[in-house]
Amino acid sequence: MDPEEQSSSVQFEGLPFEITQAILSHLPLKDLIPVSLLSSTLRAVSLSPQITPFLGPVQRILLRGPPYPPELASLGSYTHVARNVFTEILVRGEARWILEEMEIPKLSDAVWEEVFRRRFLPSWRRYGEGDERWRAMFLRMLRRLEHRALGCTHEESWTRFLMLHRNGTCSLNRIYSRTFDPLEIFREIKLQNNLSHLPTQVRLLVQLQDVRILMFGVLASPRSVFINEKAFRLCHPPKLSGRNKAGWETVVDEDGYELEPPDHVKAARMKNPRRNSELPDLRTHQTPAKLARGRSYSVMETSASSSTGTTTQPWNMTTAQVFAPLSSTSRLNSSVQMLQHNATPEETSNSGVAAGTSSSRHRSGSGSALTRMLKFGSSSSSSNNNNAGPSTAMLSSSEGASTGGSGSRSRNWLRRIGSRDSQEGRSSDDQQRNNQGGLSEVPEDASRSQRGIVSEGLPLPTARTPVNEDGNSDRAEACGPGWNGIRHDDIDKRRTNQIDALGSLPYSIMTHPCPAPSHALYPNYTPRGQVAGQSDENFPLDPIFPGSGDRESKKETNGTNGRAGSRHGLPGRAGRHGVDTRQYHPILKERKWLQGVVKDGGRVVPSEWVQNQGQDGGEALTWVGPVLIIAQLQPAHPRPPKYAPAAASAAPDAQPDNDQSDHWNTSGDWQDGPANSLDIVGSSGMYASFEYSDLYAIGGWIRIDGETGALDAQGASAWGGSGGRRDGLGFGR
Amino acid sequence: MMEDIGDVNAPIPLPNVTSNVLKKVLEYCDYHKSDPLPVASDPSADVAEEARRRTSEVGEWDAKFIQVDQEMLFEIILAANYLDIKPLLDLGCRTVATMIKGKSPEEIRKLFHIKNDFTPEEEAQIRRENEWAEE
Repeated sequence: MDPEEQSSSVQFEGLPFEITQAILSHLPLKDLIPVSLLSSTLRAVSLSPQITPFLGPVQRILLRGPPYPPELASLGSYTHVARNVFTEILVRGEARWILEEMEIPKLSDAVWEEVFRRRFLPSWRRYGEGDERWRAMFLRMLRRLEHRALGCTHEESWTRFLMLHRNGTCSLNRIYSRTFDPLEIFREIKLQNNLSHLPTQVRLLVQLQDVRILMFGVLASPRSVFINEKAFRLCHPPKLSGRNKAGWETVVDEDGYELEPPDHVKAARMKNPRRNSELPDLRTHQTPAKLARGRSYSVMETSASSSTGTTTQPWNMTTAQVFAPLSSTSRLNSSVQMLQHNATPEETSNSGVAAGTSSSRHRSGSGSALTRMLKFGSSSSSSNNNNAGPSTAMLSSSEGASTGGSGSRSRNWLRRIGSRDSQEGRSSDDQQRNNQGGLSEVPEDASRSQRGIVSEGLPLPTARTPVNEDGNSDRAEACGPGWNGIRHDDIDKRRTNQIDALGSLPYSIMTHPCPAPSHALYPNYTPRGQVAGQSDENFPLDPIFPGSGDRESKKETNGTNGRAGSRHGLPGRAGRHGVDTRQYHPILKERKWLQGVVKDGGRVVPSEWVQNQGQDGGEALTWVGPVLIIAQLQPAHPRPPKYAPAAASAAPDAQPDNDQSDHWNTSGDWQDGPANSLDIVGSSGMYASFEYSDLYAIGGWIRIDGETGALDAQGASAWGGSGGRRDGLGFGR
Repeated sequence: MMEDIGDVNAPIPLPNVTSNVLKKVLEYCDYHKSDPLPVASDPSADVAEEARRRTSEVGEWDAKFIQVDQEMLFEIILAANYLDIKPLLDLGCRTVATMIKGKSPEEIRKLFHIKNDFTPEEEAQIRRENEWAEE
């Protein structure tokens, strides 16, 4: 029968809104725009932030990365597109494209704040000027990023970074951006801590939209006296610890904490009411619950603003879920992902996890100068804590950091200096540094009381059959007076059954800042490889809004399927992106790649199982000595390598090394084969500042307190020490 | 659904699904009965299954199965939604989307009997937006 000639009792507009949304979400953006303007009903569906079909196509485009189609750039000129769609674009879009091509719609200041907080590290708020609006701050920050990604340090002369000492303390340091070279810095740190014989490990903690957070450290035997348990915990949140399996002893460690900033950080936020007053309460918002069945007919009570598009909790959750490339077949060796470099001569003895500390470029130029300055700083640290000036010392550190052992030595050469660097906006961090003590975990009760990212405790909706006897939806009954007879509230209440598979994840997904799609579930897992999703093939799932991975996109990306991870038996894309299933399917093989436990003198030392290169076996290693935490400019969707700043700046003297380990290339992809350290660490000026507030944001399960916090019944902090004091050489309880 | 019924021996009411549609649904389920199902204890299973369906092309049998008239197609979609048969629901939605792709607004209106209920003012606004976007 010709469908055009028939007169069906069930018509397209008679379908439930959720089904209409599901259908339209399969359309490409080019087709969706005119279809959404066919009738007032379709327009209302498009305008609803809860069920707008624009999110799916837009997010598929954003996941593919640039170049974007022209329809996306002009989307801001349409008034029938839900405003939260633009939130996603501004958070995920390429900086240059937003600045130069995107038609930016009018959004409220609260939305701009949300965009800023989701895209950038918290400490970057210090670039705000007075009472300027969030929109201006966001756009200026994008320009800064674009500019600095070219290698110019004019916008940020000093780069700040953190050192997490083995006794649980942490220090904030900074160094002149033009000579900032984390490998060289850490090489010097190793030298001063008698760790030079160990290869440097570079661990990707999380990839954000514009930067990725790297941790530099060394792994050694758990018998070492320099164990840094905080560093281990930063890589392995407590709830993600290993499970008991035959042949292995595991830490019974289920008492993790939610991803929450410590109290004093939240208190600091409260001091700035202007920037927080308009923001909806993201923690208390209800999220859609899973229905018993069916995608439609759910009447959810949400407080999302439907008319303004204000970003609220369901939107955040939706975002995280939409960018969650989930797979039940993920493997756990992701968390031992290491960025390995060419080893210096003194390090080549440990080829198993060998990673050099410097390249030829680093050895020849700034490295020697840095060494001299570090030594200079060490000799004069006791008297010069302030106003040393940038020309006399390169590093500054937090004063009062009670580092012991190796930490104290590090503190000596990390002097705090005055500089051109503005002191504004640093008060909270300075106070934290002055008062800092040991690292401890966030109190569980406090954190759990504020959780709410994943749906929890929500009643399951029961209504599901608003279909009349004649087979039509009873939607008309629900539509009261409003725009063309359709009330947006009614539409919003019909939010469909969303996949709530994330509800049982051990941690709430980090939302501020928002991790890149490759780390969509952070901190619940850390992928082993592959940073940026370049296609739907890499991100086959759009759990909320269907349409990703349709035939067209699959054909486009057939050549990119699953290279990374295959070396270690990972099933292609599933191995690269997936839910960390440690909680659910602990497998011995996977655990070997994650973390074993080594008993040492009656103490359980959490360790990682590191497979030696070229060997079948491996060994349990743990983090020792201080570790360096930095932010590297690395977009989640980098441009082609020839345009990548790192590649351009490193090209003249970049020499491939002999390390045969896996590595990250300039495109941010994980590759098998020889690595070039320049690809990994970037060049001078390729870093951004990373401060305490950033550490709280990405590692909410630990915190630097010293004043309050996670003390157990015996008065000892959760991970060593009591009352924030060091508990002897970094060993835990 | 079985939990809702309580008594396992009680008949299951399907007031919103006609017999013809139910036959089609059963036909689909019978053909796909051996398809792998996600592990229930795995929280990512639903999502993984969703991913599998999204990335998989419509099979030959499915394409032939879904070649029905528009009324039956919508009925199948509604029934799949009511019965929570996600693969069938997805198949139906993708089929409708395929019918829309590449067509002009007027063709879509005619195909799905969509009435233009915009006021003149709204139409003028839409026209202005389109012109602005196309510049």
